[in-house]
Amino acid sequence: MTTHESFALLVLAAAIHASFQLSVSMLTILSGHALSAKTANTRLLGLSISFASGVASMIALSLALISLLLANIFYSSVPRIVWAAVCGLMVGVGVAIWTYYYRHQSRGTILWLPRGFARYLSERTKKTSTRQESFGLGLVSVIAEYLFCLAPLIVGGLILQNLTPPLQILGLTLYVAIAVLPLVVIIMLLGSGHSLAVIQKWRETNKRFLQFAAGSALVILGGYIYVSMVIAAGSQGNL
Amino acid sequence: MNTSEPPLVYDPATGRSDVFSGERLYATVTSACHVIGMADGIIPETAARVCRAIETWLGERAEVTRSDIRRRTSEQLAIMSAEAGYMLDNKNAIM
Repeated sequence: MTTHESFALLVLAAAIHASFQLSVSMLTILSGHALSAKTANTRLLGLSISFASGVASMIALSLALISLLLANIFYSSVPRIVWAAVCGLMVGVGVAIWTYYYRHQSRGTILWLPRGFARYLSERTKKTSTRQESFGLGLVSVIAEYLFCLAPLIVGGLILQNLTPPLQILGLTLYVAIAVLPLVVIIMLLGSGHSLAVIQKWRETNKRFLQFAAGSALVILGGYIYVSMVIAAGSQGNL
Repeated sequence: MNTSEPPLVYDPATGRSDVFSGERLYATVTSACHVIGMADGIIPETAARVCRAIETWLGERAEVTRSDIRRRTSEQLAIMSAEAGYMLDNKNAIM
Protein backbone atom coordinates (compact mmCIF):
# COMPACT_ATOMS: atom_id res chain seq x y z
CA MET A 1 0.00 0.00 0.00
CA THR A 2 1.51 3.36 -1.02
CA THR A 3 1.57 6.35 1.35
CA HIS A 4 -1.00 8.20 -0.74
CA GLU A 5 -3.29 5.19 -0.71
CA SER A 6 -2.83 4.82 3.05
CA PHE A 7 -3.80 8.44 3.67
CA ALA A 8 -6.79 8.21 1.33
CA LEU A 9 -8.10 5.17 3.25
CA LEU A 10 -7.36 6.87 6.57
CA VAL A 11 -9.40 9.91 5.49
CA LEU A 12 -12.31 7.66 4.45
CA ALA A 13 -12.17 5.74 7.77
CA ALA A 14 -12.13 9.06 9.68
CA ALA A 15 -15.06 10.37 7.62
CA ILE A 16 -17.04 7.23 8.50
CA HIS A 17 -16.18 7.80 12.17
CA ALA A 18 -17.32 11.43 11.84
CA SER A 19 -20.75 10.30 10.63
CA PHE A 20 -21.50 8.52 13.93
CA GLN A 21 -23.97 10.53 15.94
CA LEU A 22 -23.74 9.70 19.64
CA SER A 23 -21.23 12.45 20.46
CA VAL A 24 -23.21 14.93 18.34
CA SER A 25 -26.43 13.99 20.16
CA MET A 26 -24.77 14.43 23.54
CA LEU A 27 -23.34 17.81 22.51
CA THR A 28 -26.83 18.86 21.33
CA ILE A 29 -28.35 17.88 24.69
CA LEU A 30 -25.51 19.56 26.59
CA SER A 31 -25.94 22.81 24.63
CA GLY A 32 -29.74 22.68 24.83
CA HIS A 33 -29.71 22.22 28.58
CA ALA A 34 -27.15 24.98 29.07
CA LEU A 35 -29.19 27.36 26.88
CA SER A 36 -32.46 26.54 28.70
CA ALA A 37 -30.74 27.31 32.00
CA LYS A 38 -29.64 30.66 30.54
CA THR A 39 -25.95 29.78 30.85
CA ALA A 40 -23.59 32.51 29.67
CA ASN A 41 -22.28 32.04 26.14
CA THR A 42 -18.64 31.88 27.26
CA ARG A 43 -19.51 29.14 29.75
CA LEU A 44 -21.47 27.22 27.11
CA LEU A 45 -18.51 27.56 24.74
CA GLY A 46 -16.16 26.29 27.46
CA LEU A 47 -18.36 23.25 28.14
CA SER A 48 -18.68 22.48 24.43
CA ILE A 49 -14.94 22.80 23.76
CA SER A 50 -14.16 20.60 26.78
CA PHE A 51 -16.60 18.00 25.46
CA ALA A 52 -15.03 18.05 21.98
CA SER A 53 -11.55 17.83 23.58
CA GLY A 54 -12.68 14.75 25.49
CA VAL A 55 -13.96 13.15 22.31
CA ALA A 56 -10.72 14.00 20.44
CA SER A 57 -8.58 12.65 23.30
CA MET A 58 -10.45 9.34 23.48
CA ILE A 59 -10.33 8.86 19.69
CA ALA A 60 -6.58 9.60 19.68
CA LEU A 61 -5.96 7.26 22.63
CA SER A 62 -8.06 4.46 21.12
CA LEU A 63 -6.39 4.75 17.72
CA ALA A 64 -2.90 4.89 19.24
CA LEU A 65 -3.67 1.88 21.47
CA ILE A 66 -5.02 -0.21 18.59
CA SER A 67 -2.03 0.72 16.43
CA LEU A 68 0.40 -0.12 19.24
CA LEU A 69 -1.26 -3.48 19.93
CA LEU A 70 -1.19 -4.39 16.24
CA ALA A 71 2.46 -3.35 15.94
CA ASN A 72 3.37 -5.52 18.93
CA ILE A 73 1.38 -8.53 17.79
CA PHE A 74 2.45 -8.44 14.12
CA TYR A 75 6.05 -7.22 14.05
CA SER A 76 6.79 -7.15 10.32
CA SER A 77 3.50 -7.22 8.40
CA VAL A 78 -0.13 -7.92 9.14
CA PRO A 79 -1.18 -11.39 7.89
CA ARG A 80 -3.84 -11.57 5.17
CA ILE A 81 -6.16 -13.47 7.47
CA VAL A 82 -6.28 -10.43 9.81
CA TRP A 83 -7.07 -8.10 6.91
CA ALA A 84 -9.80 -10.53 5.81
CA ALA A 85 -11.27 -10.61 9.34
CA VAL A 86 -11.25 -6.79 9.49
CA CYS A 87 -13.00 -6.65 6.10
CA GLY A 88 -15.67 -9.00 7.46
CA LEU A 89 -16.06 -6.80 10.54
CA MET A 90 -16.47 -3.69 8.36
CA VAL A 91 -19.09 -5.29 6.12
CA GLY A 92 -20.94 -6.58 9.20
CA VAL A 93 -20.89 -3.20 10.94
CA GLY A 94 -21.91 -1.51 7.67
CA VAL A 95 -24.98 -3.74 7.37
CA ALA A 96 -25.74 -3.19 11.09
CA ILE A 97 -25.65 0.58 10.49
CA TRP A 98 -28.09 0.25 7.56
CA THR A 99 -30.34 -1.92 9.70
CA TYR A 100 -30.58 -0.32 13.11
CA TYR A 101 -28.32 2.71 13.67
CA TYR A 102 -31.44 4.87 13.99
CA ARG A 103 -34.55 3.31 15.51
CA HIS A 104 -37.25 2.36 12.99
CA GLN A 105 -40.23 4.70 12.68
CA SER A 106 -38.95 6.91 15.49
CA ARG A 107 -39.22 10.66 15.48
CA GLY A 108 -36.22 12.90 15.99
CA THR A 109 -32.77 11.31 15.96
CA ILE A 110 -33.27 8.41 18.37
CA LEU A 111 -30.26 6.09 18.16
CA TRP A 112 -29.81 2.33 18.54
CA LEU A 113 -28.85 2.60 22.23
CA PRO A 114 -30.91 0.65 24.80
CA ARG A 115 -33.43 3.17 26.18
CA GLY A 116 -32.30 2.82 29.79
CA PHE A 117 -28.70 3.59 28.84
CA ALA A 118 -29.77 6.48 26.58
CA ARG A 119 -31.82 7.96 29.45
CA TYR A 120 -28.85 7.60 31.80
CA LEU A 121 -26.50 9.34 29.32
CA SER A 122 -29.08 12.05 28.70
CA GLU A 123 -29.59 12.71 32.43
CA ARG A 124 -25.82 12.65 33.04
CA THR A 125 -25.35 15.15 30.20
CA LYS A 126 -27.99 17.48 31.66
CA LYS A 127 -26.28 17.41 35.07
CA THR A 128 -22.93 18.40 33.58
CA SER A 129 -21.97 21.82 34.86
CA THR A 130 -18.16 21.94 34.91
CA ARG A 131 -15.58 21.66 32.15
CA GLN A 132 -13.96 18.63 33.78
CA GLU A 133 -17.28 16.77 33.79
CA SER A 134 -17.84 17.81 30.19
CA PHE A 135 -14.39 16.49 29.21
CA GLY A 136 -15.17 13.17 30.91
CA LEU A 137 -18.51 13.02 29.13
CA GLY A 138 -16.69 13.42 25.81
CA LEU A 139 -14.43 10.48 26.68
CA VAL A 140 -17.45 8.33 27.60
CA SER A 141 -19.36 9.21 24.43
CA VAL A 142 -16.64 7.56 22.29
CA ILE A 143 -16.49 4.43 24.49
CA ALA A 144 -20.28 4.11 24.42
CA GLU A 145 -20.19 3.92 20.63
CA TYR A 146 -17.32 1.42 20.34
CA LEU A 147 -19.77 -1.11 18.91
CA PHE A 148 -19.78 0.93 15.68
CA CYS A 149 -16.63 3.04 15.74
CA LEU A 150 -14.22 0.18 16.47
CA ALA A 151 -14.39 -0.84 12.80
CA PRO A 152 -12.98 2.42 11.37
CA LEU A 153 -10.59 2.69 14.35
CA ILE A 154 -9.13 -0.78 13.62
CA VAL A 155 -8.72 0.11 9.94
CA GLY A 156 -7.02 3.35 11.00
CA GLY A 157 -4.75 1.38 13.35
CA LEU A 158 -3.80 -1.11 10.63
CA ILE A 159 -3.01 1.69 8.19
CA LEU A 160 -1.01 3.71 10.74
CA GLN A 161 1.03 0.66 11.63
CA ASN A 162 2.39 0.51 8.06
CA LEU A 163 3.57 4.15 8.08
CA THR A 164 6.84 5.67 9.31
CA PRO A 165 6.73 7.30 12.80
CA PRO A 166 6.45 10.94 11.56
CA LEU A 167 3.69 9.94 9.15
CA GLN A 168 1.97 7.98 11.93
CA ILE A 169 1.69 11.17 13.99
CA LEU A 170 0.42 13.06 10.95
CA GLY A 171 -2.08 10.28 10.22
CA LEU A 172 -3.28 10.16 13.83
CA THR A 173 -3.76 13.93 13.88
CA LEU A 174 -5.59 13.87 10.54
CA TYR A 175 -7.92 11.07 11.68
CA VAL A 176 -8.80 12.85 14.94
CA ALA A 177 -9.28 16.21 13.19
CA ILE A 178 -11.73 14.70 10.68
CA ALA A 179 -13.56 12.58 13.27
CA VAL A 180 -14.31 15.59 15.52
CA LEU A 181 -15.17 17.92 12.62
CA PRO A 182 -18.98 17.66 13.13
CA LEU A 183 -18.58 18.72 16.78
CA VAL A 184 -16.35 21.65 15.77
CA VAL A 185 -18.90 22.75 13.15
CA ILE A 186 -21.76 22.60 15.69
CA ILE A 187 -19.74 24.58 18.26
CA MET A 188 -18.93 27.21 15.61
CA LEU A 189 -22.57 27.42 14.49
CA LEU A 190 -23.84 27.81 18.06
CA GLY A 191 -21.09 30.33 18.81
CA SER A 192 -22.07 32.41 15.78
CA GLY A 193 -25.70 32.60 16.93
CA HIS A 194 -27.38 29.82 14.96
CA SER A 195 -30.37 28.21 16.63
CA LEU A 196 -30.03 24.72 18.07
CA ALA A 197 -33.43 23.91 16.51
CA VAL A 198 -32.03 24.47 13.00
CA ILE A 199 -29.09 22.14 13.71
CA GLN A 200 -31.34 19.44 15.19
CA LYS A 201 -33.81 19.78 12.32
CA TRP A 202 -30.96 19.33 9.81
CA ARG A 203 -29.83 16.21 11.67
CA GLU A 204 -33.35 14.80 11.62
CA THR A 205 -33.92 15.60 7.94
CA ASN A 206 -30.63 14.01 6.86
CA LYS A 207 -30.45 11.10 9.30
CA ARG A 208 -31.36 8.43 6.74
CA PHE A 209 -28.80 9.80 4.28
CA LEU A 210 -26.07 9.79 6.96
CA GLN A 211 -27.07 6.27 7.98
CA PHE A 212 -26.95 5.02 4.38
CA ALA A 213 -23.70 6.86 3.63
CA ALA A 214 -21.90 5.56 6.74
CA GLY A 215 -23.05 1.96 6.15
CA SER A 216 -22.23 2.07 2.44
CA ALA A 217 -18.82 3.66 3.02
CA LEU A 218 -17.93 0.89 5.50
CA VAL A 219 -18.99 -1.83 3.05
CA ILE A 220 -17.06 -0.14 0.20
CA LEU A 221 -13.97 0.34 2.39
CA GLY A 222 -14.18 -3.30 3.46
CA GLY A 223 -14.48 -4.42 -0.18
CA TYR A 224 -11.58 -2.24 -1.32
CA ILE A 225 -9.28 -3.46 1.46
CA TYR A 226 -10.29 -7.07 0.74
CA VAL A 227 -9.33 -6.69 -2.91
CA SER A 228 -6.10 -4.76 -2.33
CA MET A 229 -4.79 -6.47 0.82
CA VAL A 230 -6.20 -10.00 0.59
CA ILE A 231 -6.80 -10.93 -3.06
CA ALA A 232 -4.04 -8.82 -4.68
CA ALA A 233 -1.49 -9.71 -1.97
CA GLY A 234 -2.49 -13.38 -2.32
CA SER A 235 -1.97 -13.31 -6.08
CA GLN A 236 1.53 -11.90 -5.46
CA GLY A 237 2.30 -14.87 -3.23
CA ASN A 238 2.33 -13.06 0.14
CA LEU A 239 0.92 -14.73 3.21
CA MET B 1 -66.44 14.91 35.96
CA ASN B 2 -65.57 17.71 38.37
CA THR B 3 -63.83 20.32 36.20
CA SER B 4 -62.57 22.34 39.20
CA GLU B 5 -60.05 19.62 40.04
CA PRO B 6 -56.82 19.57 38.02
CA PRO B 7 -56.62 16.53 35.71
CA LEU B 8 -54.27 13.62 36.27
CA VAL B 9 -51.24 13.21 34.02
CA TYR B 10 -50.33 9.58 33.33
CA ASP B 11 -46.70 8.73 32.61
CA PRO B 12 -46.48 5.37 30.74
CA ALA B 13 -42.72 5.16 31.47
CA THR B 14 -43.23 5.02 35.25
CA GLY B 15 -46.86 3.85 35.29
CA ARG B 16 -47.75 6.65 37.72
CA SER B 17 -50.32 9.44 37.53
CA ASP B 18 -49.58 12.89 38.94
CA VAL B 19 -51.73 15.97 39.28
CA PHE B 20 -51.22 18.44 36.42
CA SER B 21 -48.91 21.31 37.39
CA GLY B 22 -49.31 24.64 35.58
CA GLU B 23 -46.03 25.92 37.04
CA ARG B 24 -44.14 22.95 35.64
CA LEU B 25 -45.67 23.48 32.20
CA TYR B 26 -44.77 27.18 32.32
CA ALA B 27 -41.16 26.29 33.21
CA THR B 28 -40.97 23.75 30.36
CA VAL B 29 -42.26 26.23 27.79
CA THR B 30 -39.92 28.93 29.10
CA SER B 31 -36.95 26.53 28.78
CA ALA B 32 -37.87 25.70 25.17
CA CYS B 33 -38.01 29.42 24.38
CA HIS B 34 -34.57 29.98 25.94
CA VAL B 35 -33.06 27.09 23.92
CA ILE B 36 -33.84 28.77 20.61
CA GLY B 37 -32.63 32.16 21.87
CA MET B 38 -36.03 33.91 21.95
CA ALA B 39 -35.89 37.48 23.27
CA ASP B 40 -36.37 37.55 27.06
CA GLY B 41 -39.06 40.22 26.79
CA ILE B 42 -41.57 38.06 24.93
CA ILE B 43 -40.97 34.75 26.70
CA PRO B 44 -43.34 35.32 29.70
CA GLU B 45 -46.22 36.35 27.42
CA THR B 46 -45.57 33.41 25.06
CA ALA B 47 -45.41 30.91 27.94
CA ALA B 48 -48.55 32.36 29.56
CA ARG B 49 -50.51 32.11 26.28
CA VAL B 50 -49.46 28.50 25.74
CA CYS B 51 -50.32 27.58 29.35
CA ARG B 52 -53.78 29.21 29.03
CA ALA B 53 -54.45 27.24 25.84
CA ILE B 54 -53.37 23.98 27.48
CA GLU B 55 -55.43 24.61 30.62
CA THR B 56 -58.50 25.27 28.44
CA TRP B 57 -57.89 22.03 26.57
CA LEU B 58 -57.36 20.11 29.81
CA GLY B 59 -60.64 21.43 31.22
CA GLU B 60 -62.50 18.88 29.11
CA ARG B 61 -60.45 15.90 30.31
CA ALA B 62 -60.08 13.90 33.53
CA GLU B 63 -56.82 12.15 32.67
CA VAL B 64 -54.26 12.63 29.91
CA THR B 65 -50.85 11.16 29.17
CA ARG B 66 -47.59 13.08 29.43
CA SER B 67 -47.07 12.71 25.68
CA ASP B 68 -50.56 14.17 25.00
CA ILE B 69 -49.56 17.28 26.91
CA ARG B 70 -46.17 17.48 25.20
CA ARG B 71 -47.74 17.15 21.74
CA ARG B 72 -50.47 19.68 22.44
CA THR B 73 -48.03 22.13 24.06
CA SER B 74 -45.58 21.92 21.17
CA GLU B 75 -48.44 22.53 18.72
CA GLN B 76 -49.51 25.63 20.62
CA LEU B 77 -45.94 26.87 21.01
CA ALA B 78 -45.25 26.29 17.30
CA ILE B 79 -48.00 28.83 16.49
CA MET B 80 -45.83 31.50 18.12
CA SER B 81 -42.39 30.03 17.38
CA ALA B 82 -41.96 27.04 15.06
CA GLU B 83 -38.42 26.43 16.31
CA ALA B 84 -39.38 26.44 20.00
CA GLY B 85 -42.31 24.11 19.25
CA TYR B 86 -40.00 21.78 17.37
CA MET B 87 -37.44 21.69 20.20
CA LEU B 88 -40.15 21.00 22.78
CA ASP B 89 -41.63 18.20 20.67
CA ASN B 90 -38.20 16.62 20.16
CA LYS B 91 -36.89 17.19 23.67
CA ASN B 92 -36.64 13.45 24.35
CA ALA B 93 -35.90 12.40 20.79
CA ILE B 94 -32.35 13.68 20.39
CA MET B 95 -30.45 10.54 21.43
